[in-house]
Amino acid sequence: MIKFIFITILIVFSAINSYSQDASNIAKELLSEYNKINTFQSDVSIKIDISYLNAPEKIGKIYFKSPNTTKVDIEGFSMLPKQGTGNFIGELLKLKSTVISLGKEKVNNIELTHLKLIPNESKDIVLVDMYVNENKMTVVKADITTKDNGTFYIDIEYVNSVKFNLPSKVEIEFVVPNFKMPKAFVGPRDKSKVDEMQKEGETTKGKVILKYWNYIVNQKIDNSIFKK
Amino acid sequence: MFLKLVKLELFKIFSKWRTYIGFIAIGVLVPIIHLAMLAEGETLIEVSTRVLRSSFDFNGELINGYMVTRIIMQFLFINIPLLITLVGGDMLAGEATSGTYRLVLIRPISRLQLVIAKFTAGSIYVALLVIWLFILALGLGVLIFGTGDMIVVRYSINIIPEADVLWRYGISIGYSFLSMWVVYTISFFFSSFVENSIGPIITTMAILIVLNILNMVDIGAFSTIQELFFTTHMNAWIILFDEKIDYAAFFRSALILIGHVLVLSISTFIYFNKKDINS
Repeated sequence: MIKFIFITILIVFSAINSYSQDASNIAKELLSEYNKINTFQSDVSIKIDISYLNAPEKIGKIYFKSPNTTKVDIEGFSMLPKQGTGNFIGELLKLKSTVISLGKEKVNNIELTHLKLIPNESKDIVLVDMYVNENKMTVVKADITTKDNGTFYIDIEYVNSVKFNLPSKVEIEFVVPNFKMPKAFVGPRDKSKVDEMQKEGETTKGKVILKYWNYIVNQKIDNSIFKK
Repeated sequence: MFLKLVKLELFKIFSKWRTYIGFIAIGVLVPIIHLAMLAEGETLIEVSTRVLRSSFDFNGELINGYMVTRIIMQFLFINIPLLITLVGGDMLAGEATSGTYRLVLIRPISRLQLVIAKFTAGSIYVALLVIWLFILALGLGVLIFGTGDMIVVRYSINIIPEADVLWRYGISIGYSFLSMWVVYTISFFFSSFVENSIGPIITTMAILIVLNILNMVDIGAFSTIQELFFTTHMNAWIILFDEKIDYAAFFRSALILIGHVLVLSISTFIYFNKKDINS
């Protein structure tokens, strides 16, 4: 009996170990793909969709320099999500993490490998769920749970025309606190609208869509651009 | 003849030092608010956008001349009407106080011509005061803070592209004039009844203060009555700074104000035409 239990534990342990090794190998392979990007610059458009925020779509340039310097050059004022810009997947993979594979999942008829990354040293990121297309070695979905800013759900479409893992479209969903203007600060004209907003919960969903085009990859970018 | 009358009335208005109180008050207050925004504007923006800062990094400046001008307009819109009553309340009562009514009316002009000329001259004063406010607020604002996209925080947060700002301010100037015109017309109306300008000035100020206080009362059933107050519609220019402008609400408010001006000014003209003038 003891022998049977011992063998079972051994089998389970080695299975977990091999799964974990598989997951680590996939993560390493992904990292080497994303590491190919040392610098890039491209055109970018940012569209923000939050119920209480009316902001125009912004178009400008984005510059990235490895390991984690991103600069967005947009005329006037712009807002960038805290997660999901630059080579953010590469940056996530660079974190020292425990990687576990949770098996295969079908998303939009594509078989994806579900990896769970538990960063060991990150101050902000607690957990990352990555969905990997192993055929193309790309991460097409990532759920990033942070310590202070909630969870970001990210969907990525890639540029087919370049040999690097560069996104053409990134959709980021997250939860933001609701905006509640005190009634005393609005006139009678806006009271009903404030009433409507007060009925909504403490939080609401937000979405940001980033589109990238005209990539220039791995060409020297002047440091002064990042200092602006 | 009528133009000469208006010019004469304008000369009278600008001969009195009380006319300049409004211009001086705006000339002092606006730069003070600019300085306050220079010192504390960043904090104001941070507080207004706190809910977004947990999820977003902000790039670029949100404090600019456009944003500051809107804040100044909101601050001053409660107080400028009080300055306008100083002139409006004196337009007709002032003649009675100084005993010049009969002297003016023995000249070959009709009473109607006189009262319309006075009304027109006073309206020009109101327009100049509003233009002065905008020149100072917007001009100085742009000079100190520059231009850019404009953030408007109401029941929602609107970011208006820079290219879309100036035409909104253009219409705002017109609407602000309309709002102040109503106040002027009320004080002009009361001015026709009495022989001392203190009465119409105080009465108009009292009406403004009472209606503004009643506007703050937040009782469901009361909102229907609030809709009837001209003070509710005076600040409808802020609708112009919504992402999607509710033109129906904007024009409704404008029509209500125009209605006030028409009813009160025509009432004044009719009353003045029949009034017994003994001084």
